[in-house]
Amino acid sequence: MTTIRIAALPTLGRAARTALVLVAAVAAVALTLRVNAVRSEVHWLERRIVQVEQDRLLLETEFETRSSQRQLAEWNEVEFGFRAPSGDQFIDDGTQLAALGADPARGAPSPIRLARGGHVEMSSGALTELARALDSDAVQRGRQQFHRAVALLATSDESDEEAGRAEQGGSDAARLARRLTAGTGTAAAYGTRLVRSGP
Amino acid sequence: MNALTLDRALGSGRVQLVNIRRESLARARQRLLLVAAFFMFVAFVALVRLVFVGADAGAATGTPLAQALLPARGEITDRNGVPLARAFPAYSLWFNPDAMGEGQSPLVDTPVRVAARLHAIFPDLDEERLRAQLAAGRAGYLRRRILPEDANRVHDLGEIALETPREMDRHYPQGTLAAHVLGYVGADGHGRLGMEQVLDARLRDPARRATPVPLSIDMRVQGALEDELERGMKLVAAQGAAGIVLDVDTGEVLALASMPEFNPNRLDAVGAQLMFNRVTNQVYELGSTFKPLTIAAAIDAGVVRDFGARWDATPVRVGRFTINDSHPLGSTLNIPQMLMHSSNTVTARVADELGPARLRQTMIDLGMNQRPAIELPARGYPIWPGDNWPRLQNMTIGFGHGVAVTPLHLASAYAAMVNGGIWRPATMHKLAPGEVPQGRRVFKESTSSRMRQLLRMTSRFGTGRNADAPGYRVGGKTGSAEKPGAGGYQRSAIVSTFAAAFPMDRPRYVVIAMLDEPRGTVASSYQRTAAWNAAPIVGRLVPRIGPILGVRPDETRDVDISDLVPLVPEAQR
Repeated sequence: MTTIRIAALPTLGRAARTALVLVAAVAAVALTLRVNAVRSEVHWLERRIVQVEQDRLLLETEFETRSSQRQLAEWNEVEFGFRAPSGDQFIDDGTQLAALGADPARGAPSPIRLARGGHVEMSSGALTELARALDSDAVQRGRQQFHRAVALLATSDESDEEAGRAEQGGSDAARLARRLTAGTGTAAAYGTRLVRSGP
Repeated sequence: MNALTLDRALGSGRVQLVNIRRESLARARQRLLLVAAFFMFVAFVALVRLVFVGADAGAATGTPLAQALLPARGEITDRNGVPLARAFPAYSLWFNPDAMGEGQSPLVDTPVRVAARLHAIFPDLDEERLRAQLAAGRAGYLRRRILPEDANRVHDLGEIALETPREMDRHYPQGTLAAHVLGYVGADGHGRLGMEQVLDARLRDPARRATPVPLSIDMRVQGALEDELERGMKLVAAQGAAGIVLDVDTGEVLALASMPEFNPNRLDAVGAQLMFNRVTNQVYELGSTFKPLTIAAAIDAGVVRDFGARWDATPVRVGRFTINDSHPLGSTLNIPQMLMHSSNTVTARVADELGPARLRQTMIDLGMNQRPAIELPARGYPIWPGDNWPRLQNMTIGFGHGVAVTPLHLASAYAAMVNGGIWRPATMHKLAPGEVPQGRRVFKESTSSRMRQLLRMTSRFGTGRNADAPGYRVGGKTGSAEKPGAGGYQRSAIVSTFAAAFPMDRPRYVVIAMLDEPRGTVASSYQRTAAWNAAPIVGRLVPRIGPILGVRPDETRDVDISDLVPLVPEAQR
């Protein structure tokens, strides 16, 4: 096939040959441009990768810093109070585990039962109970009050005049305001506003 | 005027017109050609330029990906890959007064309001100084390091002059944790003090710095050790504390802490004073914790064979000097009792019978006459009594006076004593199973086995009871030595140490806790000795690190001490 084509070339006209060369040249240039366009896109992506990688490093380091061992230990000390498990909390095998759930032996003392308020379903686990407690109205009210107090403490910065006026009124609200801010070193005005914005 | 003349005149005018038309046509064509040629030339140049630009874009513009991702300095991690030191681009806050153009007002808003808003983001910045700097239009840092979220908040202010350039920073995410192990990087970019200095060439080498260097440290164990040391130190108002957790079979240091610590992220004058490493650089007379080593040497040499044999426990007189016990322990004691009650007199007699040559050789085998074997650059030289030990000195060295070593020396010696008798150098590098050094034999296997029993007896029935964490089979020895000062030993300043290993039925880790100048407080029942301040630290630490290190507590298992219990009346109660 190739030989035939090459042999056929001289038979073509001059114009046709020039056109062929031109078309080839244009195609080559277009292809080069395309290749380089893709290449520069790759470069752009690489720069993007570096940037994202740096961001990732930064965020990861920030996370590591915020969750540092010392910080976790401090939280544990104040909030959670987790302790290392003691020796008797480890179980060797399945048999030992099963023994914990065994029925009491004949003549064994019956387990001590404690009275508790309200009806609790037998199947509910500790977590369910905790979740229910957290959803209760009292806790919700407390949470709302807390958020309101925090919002107030964060935003307002007015003088104690208002608190003074409230105290002159001698209302329950003023007393509550004093109690709320007692010992916290916060201006009584915050407490007053907190009470006023109450439910 | 006739028609012919008119015709001729018209004829010549037409000819002229035709000529003019032809000329202007030719000129127009010429101009058109010129314009076309110009356009073609421009197009050609543009095309050539396009091809060149296109071809050039393929060549390396900027740094290649691998090099761009290469950290400025290699990362140091703990043995589980948790980063302990890393270089990363951090944000800083820079004030550039020329950002809005030369001669323009640098800020959109007034300096007072910008300073107030910046102060709202960074409450620790001095608002007055900030305002002055912004008003003066001086370029400079407003703050060296800011968090990404704060950088976003600064951008939200809309002030172009407030720039947040990124700079490469060496950061220690765990803060003060393992500060003495890691060290820091100086302003010249070279590591200082700890592994940063040791690994400096490796961390800077472009070929190797892409892979992090794992240390032997376990971050969780290190955290627990520092926690407990700090608590113990505060409870008894000690000047300082030191602690180490060492793998007895490999010599890997799992945790090494010298308290109080400095913060490598914030180096200041206070931090510079705390950079001294008490574990590897400070030498102490470690007192009674040396007694087990003397007994081990005596067992090894055959001086102590019968554990029921009674040794004279009355004061020892050598020349003008008398060696006493801290309190009278009766006229005679056997070896288990001697360790349990920490008797100086019996140890002195055992050391005397063993002789200076053999005790000295054991101490040399345990590396007590050299700087501690570890990679850290700060290593203290022991106070070593030389070649010829007089009789009295041999006796005092037997109970840990007259030779001063670092706590790391003691840890390595205890590891050799309980691991079957092989001494290995301590290392800060994480070792692969095949890389563990062979070490050298110091004690016989049988001696090591005896020592496990004796140490366990001491922490079950003797002075180390406060360290006996249930289920972890801790064995160890207390030591409370008076610190030497001007004109002899100071009765008021002591160094209390607890050297322990666990679990004693198959020792895996040595734990050393040392307190420098503890005081008698309520927490220590007004006692200053190691049984009341250093031992409880180990007692609290072991249950925290045991499960992490794969040691399961088991209250049904223990080292067999049934042959020694009948010899000790206290153990039968």
